[in-house]
This record gives sequence, C-alpha cells and structure tokens, in this order.
Amino acid sequence: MSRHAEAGVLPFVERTRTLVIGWGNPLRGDDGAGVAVAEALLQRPRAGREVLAVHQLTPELALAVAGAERVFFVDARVERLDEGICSERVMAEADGGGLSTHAGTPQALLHLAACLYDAHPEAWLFSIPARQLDVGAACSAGCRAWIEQVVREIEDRTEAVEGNCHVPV
Amino acid sequence: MSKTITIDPVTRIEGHSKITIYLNDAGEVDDARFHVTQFRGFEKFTEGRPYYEMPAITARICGICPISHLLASAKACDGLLGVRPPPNAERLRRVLHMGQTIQSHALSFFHLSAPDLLLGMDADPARRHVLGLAEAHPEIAREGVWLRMFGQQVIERLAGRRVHPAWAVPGGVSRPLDEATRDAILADVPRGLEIAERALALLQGAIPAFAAEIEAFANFPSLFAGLVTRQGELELYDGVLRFGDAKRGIVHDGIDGNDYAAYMAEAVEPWSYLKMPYYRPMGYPDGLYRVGPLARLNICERCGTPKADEALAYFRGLQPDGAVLSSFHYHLARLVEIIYCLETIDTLLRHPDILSDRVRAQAAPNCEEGVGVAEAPRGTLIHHYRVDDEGLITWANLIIATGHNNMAMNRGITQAAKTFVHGEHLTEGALNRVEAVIRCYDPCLSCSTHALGQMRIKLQLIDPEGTVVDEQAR
Repeated sequence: MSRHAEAGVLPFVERTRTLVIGWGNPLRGDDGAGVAVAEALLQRPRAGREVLAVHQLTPELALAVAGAERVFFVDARVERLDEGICSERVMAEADGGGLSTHAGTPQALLHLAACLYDAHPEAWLFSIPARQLDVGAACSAGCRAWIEQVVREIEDRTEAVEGNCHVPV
Repeated sequence: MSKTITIDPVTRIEGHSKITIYLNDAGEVDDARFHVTQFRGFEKFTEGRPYYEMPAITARICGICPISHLLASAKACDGLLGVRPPPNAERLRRVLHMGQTIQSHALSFFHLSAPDLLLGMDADPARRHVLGLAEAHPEIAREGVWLRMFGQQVIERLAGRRVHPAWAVPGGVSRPLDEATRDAILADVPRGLEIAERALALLQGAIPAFAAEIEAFANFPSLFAGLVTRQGELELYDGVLRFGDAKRGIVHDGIDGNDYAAYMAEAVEPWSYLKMPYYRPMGYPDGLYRVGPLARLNICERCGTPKADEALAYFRGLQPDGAVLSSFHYHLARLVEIIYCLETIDTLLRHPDILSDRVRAQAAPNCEEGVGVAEAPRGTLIHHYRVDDEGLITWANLIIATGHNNMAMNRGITQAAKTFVHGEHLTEGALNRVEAVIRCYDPCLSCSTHALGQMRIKLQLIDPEGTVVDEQAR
C-alpha cells in the first residue's frame, strides 16, 4: 500500500486487492466491450475486488488505481483485428498518450497514480477486437464471445492470486 | 497581403472546434472566429419520442454535465405534466445539481486551466497538462482529483452512477435518500471546503502575475444573464432570469423561464454549428451577453451562504465600480461557486425532511408545452418541449449554456489575438493565450461519445492564394 493510502489521502477508495476498469461507449456496438466485461464482473462480486464501468479513463480514476494492488484495464481495439484478445503488461509512462478530459491511457493513469499517491500497482490491459462500431448498434456475436473469454480470464487470474472469494449476490 | 491563422482543434475544452485569425495587409490581427465544427442534432432526432424519455436521452448530450441536461429536461417534463415536484424531490435534485457543479468546476479549474495558471502560459506544451501539473504541483493536482471525485461521488451516491444517471424523472426523483448516504456525503464536505478555499487563496495570489491576460481576455462591457432567486441571490436550479449590465445595473428582472423566448433569440452564422443567442430587445449583435459563473456573480446580490459571500466580496473588489468584465475571472468565479455548492449541500442534507420518501408527483401530460431552465456549470440551460395528445415530442428547442457565450467568445479571442499575435512572429505562448480565452468560458461542445485519436493543435498562416506560408503544430 502506498504511503498516501496509509495516510488517508484516498478517502473514497475501499482498499482493493484487485481493480477492474472496463471502458467504452455501449451505444456504439463493440466499442462497449470493456464496459460489458465490467458489468459482467459486477454480477459476480468478490471480496477485495472493485469493478468500474466507465466511458473514458479520466484523471480522478487515479484514486481508485492508487488504492489497488493490481489493475486489469479492459478496452475495445480497432487495430490488429485478426489477433484476437490481447493481454499485455502496462507500466506508468510520463508520456503515455496524455490524459485529457476525453480519453486517457492506462499508462498515463498509472503515471498519475504514481505522481500523486506514490502508488505502483501491477497492471494489465486486455484489448478486445471491435469491428461493429455503428451508432446504436449492438455488440457483434464475435465480440460477445471475446467478452465472455475476458471475463473468464480475469476471474481465473483473480482466483489464482486470491483464491475463491466470491461474495453471494 | 492578408493572411489567415488557424488553430485547429482547440485543446483542453469539451468538444471540437477551431479558431481562425485573420490578418490584414499590415500583418496585424483584423478579426478572429471561434468555429464549432461538430453537429449533434438532438433537437431533431428527439421528435417522436415519448416525453418521459427526454431526461435520459438529453443527458447523453454531454459526459461532463449530463446532470444539468437531466434536470432541465425533468423540469420541462414537470411543465408538461403540470405538476410541482414534492419539496423533498426539489431538495434532492438540488443536491445532485451541486455535486455536478462541483465536479465540473473542479475539472475546469484543476485539470484544464491550472496548467496555464500554475505552469505558465509560455510553459512547454508537452508538459502543460494535468500530468505536468501532477509532477510540478502534486498537492494541487491531488486536491483537484479529490474535489472532482467528491462531486462525482455525490452524483453516484444519489443517482446510482456518476455519468448519465436517470434518477431525476418527470415529477421528481425515482427514489429517496437514505441516512447512510446522507451521512457519507456530509462527512466529506469539510474537506471539500478546505480544498476550495486553498485553491481560491492560490488563485488570488497568482492574479498579479496575469495582469496582461486579465486586461486582454474578453475584457469588455457586456450584458450578463442568469437565474437568481426572487430575492436576488445566486441560484443554480430554479428561480427567475435576470439580465444585468456592465455597471451591475439590472436591465430586466423576474423573467419567468417560460418567457425566455421574449428575451433571448438566436442568430445563425454560416461558419459555425453553434448558434449565437442574443438579448432580443437589443437585437443582433448588440444584444451580446455572457452567462456562467462570471455572469452569475455579477448579477446576484449575494450568494446566501457565509463562506461563499466572503469570497464574493473579494470578487466584487476586482472591479468595485461595476461588474467584473474580464473573462479571466471566470476561474475565480468558479471557485466561489464551488464553495457555495459545498455549503448548500451541507444545508440541504441537514434539512429535517431530507430523508422523506415523498419524492415524486405522478401525473399524465396536462400541458402541450413545457420549459425547464437551470444554471448548468457553464451558464443558463433551457429545454423547451412541445408534445402531442399521446405525449410524443413534436418540437424541441435546447439553448445550451455554452451557446449563450458564443458571441462573447468570438469577441474575446479577437481582443486577445490583437494583443498577443503580431503578424508572422507566431509564438506558442501567443497561440496558447488565444486558446486560453476560450478555456475561461469552459465551453462544453459536447463530449458524450468517445473522442477518437489524440487532440492536436495546428496553427497555419495562409496567404490569399491558399498557400501555407508558416505552420506550427503540436
């Protein structure tokens, strides 16, 4: 835990071992894949795990990131569509693509958490291929399958480090 | 040879726009225009929808101030139903609105404008953003994050989610407040006040260093408009419309929201998708007025809460002989309003009936027309609907807060460009100062959908033949 967390600088954050942040726009088909993963995980609560479904990565999420030991970011991806789900380790980067009010990157958010709270959680980014992005479209069948796979993967990884700690719904 | 400078897109604002600066043959600035280049069309595509869907649909206009649209829309629907929500529903809507104003103002001050104010207008643009601020002034950035989170938590705790909740409904709100939620919010108010007051002191200390910007950032006489209570106090949720002038005289007062169209008209210019509202009795373009925090503090008699009134006294001292005219002082006005909102939340949540479960009036549509007016963080927001016998929307008019300031933003960037841009000697700092005029207004050109790609800024000098003779980009 960071020294700022110990000092009570993170007032809203319940100390979490695992944080999942899924982001995107559910009104634009597969772009909402990250949100869909988060919402599925919210239906399967675990002790010590916090799940956030958001539209964009914004600066104040640094508070939640700083309060976690590990973070799984989940987003849609419009490049490398034939590569399936990608899971990669992400690190704080001072020039990690910036952090505007519209959209930030996991790297920038991790950097902000490090600067402000001396917090350095381990982090991974799951990215899901997104082909159907029309306004008002539903998630494509292919994307729904990827979403289920990422949900299972995060469940497995959480269980591997924390054991079976599902909370009854 | 006349030339044109284009700033495209404008950065650290909500939405997409560009600025064009026109130089005359002598190479000096002749004119400048703020173009809003995105088009939404909500007024048109909501036609045919049931009235009760409007709060949820129109909240999607924006990801930063959805609560303002939610509430203005719910109020317009109250008008269609012909009901007044129960008193406790109004209290809860107000708390929600205060939370929204706090998070939006905190975003504007700490995340968007503090990099200019604390790192300097001439700082390296590669670090002149919230991450650069976090490295140079972590305590300020931390407090900005906290304050914005507080506002969002108010929204989430009351309405279930921090962006695009649908808790405010025609006739009231969908569920009452519980004791634990009330106590959780109340517990955090003192820290919010400490942060807001520290930020205010910080800005007050910085003001002398920005004398040139204060002088040139949309510093001109104009009308100011916004809601006030019937007693003339600062009002964000309801009340009556007031127009004031540059001397802090009252031009028109006590205007019922339903009568807005008698006083506000909209002109259209071919070079922008954003309309140009003006004060109808004075015509276009003489009827230029400003809205938002600066305007609200200029037209009100007092805030009505003790700490905010102390801060208002300092604000008044910036221009003792009349209204505060420089749009640079929108920043300070925002901090005064944050203090007001925190104090108001505290008062509202301590009301003895705040946990009452009587929070919704039920009715079918009784009127064919409804108007909802609220003060969004950026200014007066108007939703005006007409419905048919089935309650389906037949016509909608939305006057968005940012739109009211359109003429003032255009005149403001012209003033700033004439001061800071000199012919072909284009500096990054000058470019940023022209943009910073726009950021004073914190325009919300709508941001409810993902922005694709990285925002960049580009400045071009173009000769009459269309040839780019100079260019800067970042």
